[in-house]
Amino acid sequence: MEKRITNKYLISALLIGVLFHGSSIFFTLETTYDALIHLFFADHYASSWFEPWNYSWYTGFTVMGYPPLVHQSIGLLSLIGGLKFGLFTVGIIAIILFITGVYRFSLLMTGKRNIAGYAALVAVFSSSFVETLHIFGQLPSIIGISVLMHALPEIYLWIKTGKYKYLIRAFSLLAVTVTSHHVTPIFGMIFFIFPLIGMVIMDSAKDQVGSYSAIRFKTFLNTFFKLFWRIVGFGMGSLTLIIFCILPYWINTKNNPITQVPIPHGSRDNFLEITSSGLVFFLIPWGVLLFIFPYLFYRYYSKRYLFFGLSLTLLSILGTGGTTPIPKVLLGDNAFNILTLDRFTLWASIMSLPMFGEFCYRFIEGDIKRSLQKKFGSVYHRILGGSLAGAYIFVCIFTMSLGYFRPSQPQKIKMLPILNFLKQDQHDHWRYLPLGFGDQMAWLSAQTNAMTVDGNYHSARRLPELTSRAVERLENSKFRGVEGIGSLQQFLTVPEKYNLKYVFSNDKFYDPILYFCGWQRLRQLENGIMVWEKLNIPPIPNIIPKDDVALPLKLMWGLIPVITVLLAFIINIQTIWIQALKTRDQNHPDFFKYGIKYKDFKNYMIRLEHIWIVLLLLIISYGSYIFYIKNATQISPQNVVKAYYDALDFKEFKRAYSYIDPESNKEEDQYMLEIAVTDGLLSSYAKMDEINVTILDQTDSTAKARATTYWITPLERIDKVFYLELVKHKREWFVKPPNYDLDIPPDQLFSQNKTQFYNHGRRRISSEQTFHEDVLKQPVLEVLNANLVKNDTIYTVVGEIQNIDNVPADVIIKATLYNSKNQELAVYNAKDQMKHKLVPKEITSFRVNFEGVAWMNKDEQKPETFNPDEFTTINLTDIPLTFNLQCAGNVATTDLYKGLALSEVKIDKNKVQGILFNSGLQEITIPQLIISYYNDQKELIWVDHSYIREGIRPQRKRPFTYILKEISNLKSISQDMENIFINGLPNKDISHKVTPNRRRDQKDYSFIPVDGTGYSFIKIDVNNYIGAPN
Amino acid sequence: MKLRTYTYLLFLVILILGFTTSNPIIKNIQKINITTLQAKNTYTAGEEIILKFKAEESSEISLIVKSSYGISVLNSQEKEGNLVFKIPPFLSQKRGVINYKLVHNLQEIYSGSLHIKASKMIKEPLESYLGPTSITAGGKDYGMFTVIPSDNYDNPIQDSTLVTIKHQFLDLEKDSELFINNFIAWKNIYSYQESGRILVSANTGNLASKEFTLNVFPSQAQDFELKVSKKHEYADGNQIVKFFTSEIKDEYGNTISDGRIVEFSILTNHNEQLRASGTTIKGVATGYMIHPAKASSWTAQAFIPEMAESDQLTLEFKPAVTDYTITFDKGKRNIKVGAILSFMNQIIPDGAMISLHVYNNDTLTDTFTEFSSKGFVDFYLSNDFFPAGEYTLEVTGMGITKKYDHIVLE
Repeated sequence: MEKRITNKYLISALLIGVLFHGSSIFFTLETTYDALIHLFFADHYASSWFEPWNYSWYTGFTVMGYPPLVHQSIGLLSLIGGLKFGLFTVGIIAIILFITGVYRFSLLMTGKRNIAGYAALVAVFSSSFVETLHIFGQLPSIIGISVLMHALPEIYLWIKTGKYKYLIRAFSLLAVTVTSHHVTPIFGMIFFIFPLIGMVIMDSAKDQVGSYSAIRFKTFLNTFFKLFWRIVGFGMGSLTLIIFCILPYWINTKNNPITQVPIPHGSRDNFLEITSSGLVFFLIPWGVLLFIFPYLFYRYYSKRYLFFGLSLTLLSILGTGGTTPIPKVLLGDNAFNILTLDRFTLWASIMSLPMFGEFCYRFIEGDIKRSLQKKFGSVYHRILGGSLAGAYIFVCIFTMSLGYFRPSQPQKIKMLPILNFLKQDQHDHWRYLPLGFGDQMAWLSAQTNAMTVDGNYHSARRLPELTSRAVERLENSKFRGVEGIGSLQQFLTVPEKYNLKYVFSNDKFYDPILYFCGWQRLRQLENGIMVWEKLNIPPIPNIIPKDDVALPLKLMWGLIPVITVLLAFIINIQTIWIQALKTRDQNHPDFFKYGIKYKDFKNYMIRLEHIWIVLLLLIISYGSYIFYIKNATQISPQNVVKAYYDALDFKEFKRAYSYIDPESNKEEDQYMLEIAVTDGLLSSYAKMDEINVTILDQTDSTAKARATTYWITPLERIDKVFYLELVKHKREWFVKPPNYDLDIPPDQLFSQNKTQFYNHGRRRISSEQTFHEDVLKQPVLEVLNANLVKNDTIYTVVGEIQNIDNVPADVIIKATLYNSKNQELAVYNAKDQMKHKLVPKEITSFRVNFEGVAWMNKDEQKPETFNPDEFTTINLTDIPLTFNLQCAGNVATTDLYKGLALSEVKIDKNKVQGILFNSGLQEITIPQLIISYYNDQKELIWVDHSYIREGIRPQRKRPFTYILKEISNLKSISQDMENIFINGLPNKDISHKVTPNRRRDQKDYSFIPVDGTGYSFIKIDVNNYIGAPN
Repeated sequence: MKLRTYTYLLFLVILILGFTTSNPIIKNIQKINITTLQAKNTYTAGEEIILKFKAEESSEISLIVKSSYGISVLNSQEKEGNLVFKIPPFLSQKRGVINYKLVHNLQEIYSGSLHIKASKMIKEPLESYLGPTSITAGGKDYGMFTVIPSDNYDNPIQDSTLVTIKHQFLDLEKDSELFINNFIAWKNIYSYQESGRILVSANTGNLASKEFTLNVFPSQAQDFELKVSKKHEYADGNQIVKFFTSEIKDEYGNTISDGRIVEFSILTNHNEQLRASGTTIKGVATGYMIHPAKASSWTAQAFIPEMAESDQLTLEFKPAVTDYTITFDKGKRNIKVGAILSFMNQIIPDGAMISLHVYNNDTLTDTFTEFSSKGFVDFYLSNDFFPAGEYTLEVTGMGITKKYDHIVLE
């Protein structure tokens, strides 16, 4: 027996690993995708260990949807030094577990301690590990696979030797895996343990017949039957563990099946089409391993490792996501859409580590080195070694820096001002919604008692408004097109349903939709977050429903995970003690016998490796070339137009200017200035979705192009056609500069008077309820007319409402439809087809659409294109005959700008043309037209709206065109004014008391006669959003 | 067989023994004599209430108290052989009737009742409410003022207490005396013809309420006059017309409140509509509109929607530009418009819109729109897109249209 000496490779791997990762996680972990979610869960356990119900997200959800060990560990540690201390400590533990896990796994596979040491060393910088930890922050996943790797030698020894101590150790470690991550043990069974069992059988068979090459299928089968009961014993035991240890999880999964529609994930993309996904989910996790692919498969397809070879093949194929149809066929549609496939690549790369360690060993001090030196000389070997090491370091640094150069998260937000805001003045009695926070929303939730309707663990969602849509979070809904913005609009239109009163906006993209849905700016917090509020929202009731679970399940959930760790620790401490401190010599475990001798590396493998590397380099060069051609901006007229709009889209105006014709005499300063003064929906709130460039006419040196662009804005999808002239100078194409507004307003300096309002809120600083006399009277409104109409198949309520009070009012209109038996069919609020802020005596038309939850039926066809303005009409169970309107007025003091005037409005067939003139002192960011349609009896029958894409600066004009609708299929169902209530009082009484002498004949002044299909008059009202009021 | 017989026998014996127990299960009711030791049964809220009884046997006697808060059970503190019960403050501070029973072994042995009156200490300020806090002038609208004087323990005080409700408006100070009825006293405060602020308060004895504010807003606006001011009478498409109203008043002569909307509606002789709006300050609303770019005649009127309106006003705009020259250059491909001169022969301010329509064989092939800069507008018909040939060109803008047939581009 050899003298046990400390494995210096393992020690250095641990030292370097803990130093490198342990110090860098402080700069990376908080900006990863998942870490803050785990932190939020940890906070939940820290504050209520045994209560699985959490009210903070999704109007309540259960934390039994995710195995709790990692969260509970962070929670426990947080009691010592706070949540982040817990997070980082668990992170460091994960790093140690991973490195030692790879060591033990490699030792098991190769039976050589120095090879295992090499493997541990390369594992430290393994790009897949770096990515999983520093970019994705998947701590449970790492801990799960690490502990599984620790369990593998014990499983091997149990099946090989049949000693119960190994079985108990294996079970104790497996239990920890189960409680830390549920997917790992299930797939670990298939991809790690099954091949391992195959390897044990091979080894036992070898013991019988003397060598691997002598093993025939029959011997294999015989050995299998011999070991059968051990395998079955282990199998049944681990199945019991998987079920028992997280029993509440399985029960919860059964009771609350995941109804969430699949949310697109990059790992399911076609990596050749979406190269960014290919980079993140294929190239980075494989990294340098790609270069030694032939070696990996050569080794894993040797007889002993045959089953690992099969497993590795399967894992690599599954990891390719949507690039080939195979993963979808193998997993089935359902699993394919739920699982994130990047984990397969992670496992494949981890499975490759022992062989990579072996390769390194053989390359650095083994037979590969000798063969190479003999064949090509030692210089070549050194160059090759240097390039390999260089590439390995490059991939590692590249991966680490990915989060720095391409941040996946918005900049770190200071939470304190938000927390203070929520604490003050009982603001946490309502729900809030963060917008544009990224995963930092989880960190906010962890720190406050206030609740949000959003959340960051989409498997736990219960609201159909969310589960029926492929939206990750409402918070980043702009990245999810119609489904995202559509979902968000529903929450913003009917916020009282969720007691949602405050929105924290960290992304001005959402500001217009907030404004047009009737929200108002409260103030900007000192961290730059804009707070929006909605008036007339009731606070959250004191008692909110929850799904309770049986006490035994709660106890199991709270106790088992920690017990598994304690048990595993007690059971395994002896081995760890002996192995680490070498207190006594220990017999080599069984698997040490099966290591192979490394001599005479096959020549054909060296040749194959060279061919593979050359091939790979060729592919990389070709890929780079294609990348260059696609992105060479001025090589053709198409490219320059695309590049020009791409630069404008990303607000890189300097780059945009570089595409402007240098002979056009347009100075850079002048160009920048012209860009700077344009504001509006298109230039400030739009994200380009698609661009189609058609070259209309082309000569050698000039061209004329039509760029059809599609832009996503929070309000609607905009298509805009630009005509551009292009010129060619010295083989490069340029864009001729566009015209700009030359108009000179008449006044350099001018003044206007306006009335401003201020509401004190609470005049006394008191934490009690607001004093009775500080509560303002709700402004009195009057509905002038209302009409339930059926347009084609869609039911809508249109009408006009006036603020008849003497103070400005914020107006909320809620309409309900009833059938002939007075049963309620649908309720909804008026969204953006009205002016929500009315000054005294102002009238607005309104339209209430009845929106349903989109795509409730799985068969329903989702629209292919994006259009936030589109909505799904509600499925009515009966025919609506009557309706009810509940209107509420609250004193408003903001957004009362009336400076927008309509000029030169004329009708040309079905086209309304005119000029908008901003006569006031504020720059209008988004003008809106509200167009009311009247029939020949001058009854309101329809209301439509249109957003003007460009903003209007003071004293300037902006022409507009509006195409009139065809509404020939419209039928009025009811114009009954009986069931209309204002602030809870009947509209009729108000009308009788406040405005008995209404001059109805006066309406004509605003009517524009038109020759429309189904209508005879229109009225145009203007509304405006001011992005930066001053 | 034998075993079964013994079992039957045993069963029978147990059954018989069960029915022949000699002791009855129910105890005899023993009536305990109780005498009360207090003469008083009317108290004032807040006063300490202690009930004392003398009993033959003092063990296991408890007091059941029924009040408007519900039922409570009190245990006695025995003192010198007497039963002593202290009514807890939350009951003794509440006005009303308390019924009590003494209970021994679930049997009522004595019952009685107490009367608690409101305390004489009345809480200041008097609890009072006013609503709605804003009404309209004219004497029809009113705010209701309600006073609920209560004692220190929040008990409403006795009916028929005198309350004085006062209000002040301009030079007027009025008070009315009312008696509390069913715990409250209330009065409707009607508006006067003038708008302004009514202050309301109440007193009882030397105690007072807070000051309450009732805002009286002016009533419906009456018709008003529309006025206009413009810098000149030319249609230069640049200057701004200012519309403003006379001071708008309601039917009682009050200037209407600030911030009401007035809409200015204009119809032109070209059948175009224009709309502007403004809000009132001191009864005057102002709206702004840009001058037309061509000679026009405007008919303007202002409205407070469906409530009041102004008279009609007519405005005439003379053409600012009467003519401009067009020169062709560079093989007639360069078309220069200008200098465009305004009414005093000055260069028109930048931004005058000029359009060029290009017709080829009577079909419109292209339209260019440019804005003037320093009085000129340049168009260039590029060789690449307009091959040499015969075209018809039409230039329009500032109310002038010029058409050139058979222009041959080289």
